[in-house]
Amino acid sequence: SEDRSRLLGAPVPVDENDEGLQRALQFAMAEYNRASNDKYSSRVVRVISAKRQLVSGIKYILQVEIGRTTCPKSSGDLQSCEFHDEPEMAKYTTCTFVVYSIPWLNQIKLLESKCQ
Amino acid sequence: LPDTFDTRKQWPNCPTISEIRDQGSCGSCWAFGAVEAISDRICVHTNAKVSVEVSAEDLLSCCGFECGMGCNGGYPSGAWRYWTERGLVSGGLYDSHVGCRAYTIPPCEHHVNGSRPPCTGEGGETPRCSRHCEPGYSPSYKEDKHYGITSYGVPRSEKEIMAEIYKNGPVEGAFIVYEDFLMYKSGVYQHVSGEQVGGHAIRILGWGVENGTPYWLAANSWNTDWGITGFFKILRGEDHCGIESEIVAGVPRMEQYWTRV
Repeated sequence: SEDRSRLLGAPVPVDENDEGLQRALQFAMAEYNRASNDKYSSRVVRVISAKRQLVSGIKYILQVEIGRTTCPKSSGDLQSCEFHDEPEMAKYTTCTFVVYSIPWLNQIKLLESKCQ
Repeated sequence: LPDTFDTRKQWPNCPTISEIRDQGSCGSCWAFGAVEAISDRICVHTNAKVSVEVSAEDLLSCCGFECGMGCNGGYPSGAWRYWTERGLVSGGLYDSHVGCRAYTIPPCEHHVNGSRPPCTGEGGETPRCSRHCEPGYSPSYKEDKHYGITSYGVPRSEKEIMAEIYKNGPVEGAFIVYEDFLMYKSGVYQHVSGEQVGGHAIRILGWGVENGTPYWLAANSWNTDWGITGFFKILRGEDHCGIESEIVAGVPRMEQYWTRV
């Protein structure tokens, strides 16, 4: 009668277009840009892996490639910003973000942000 | 079996039945469902002579491979078996200094000037297995262990699950959580919308009927500001979201309590 097939509380892959994931990613990038000393904003180039874990809330564990855009920090909509293409200005990095969301309290926090 | 049964009312001198805990940013639901029901059952089987909060920390950090992956998920059946083989010490909520090993992962602060610590830095890593009680606590770690005599899965049957709770107290259960469950506030939960988020373990502590809908009464480990002060009701009798298909339970070993009972 034992069911050992399924780990309970484990991180599981989540679709890149998932609404919650997209919100978590936007939040992580906003926090990343706020904390960086760079004159330019960075944005996501591609999602390398994305997992979702049920804890007391939801944890998103994201591995993404990000790139430096030509838009200064002050500009609003990043999605239309182009990436720098001159070699001395271009900067691409791989980052791991852990975003913790508690939907019933309307809370979201960046628990971890590591870029190589 | 009665139409309504609430173990909190059946065993009013067992305070752990009414307690809600918080797993924090760790995937330790499997451990919480187990230690909550084990705590309740120790009290039920000793006629409330022994009331102890069994430590989620001890199970989460020391069980290892038999239970799964710690904060990255685990198996309820492994948790209950660990209780029969290695025993579990006492331990309360985060920062409570209650028992041998209290929980070390903080609940997330969300009130301005609230009483909880901020949830920064805590990435939800599995705590280290320490075979010592916190300073100032006696008896020793080894002496503080509580054991089960047997653990078992309960067949996927509404009546058998009810009979198990009626006779022995709360059980651990598991089901599939969908997005709409996260925003549950009241009533009998039935999945309507949203994506599947993952498998989740909880404690089932009774049953009843609300406006003609049969439900299981259950306790979540998401603190008291989720659901009905931490509790919820979920549709009973249709294996809704798999709620009746993964019930685990066990019975305490009584020799250790003979001097007290």
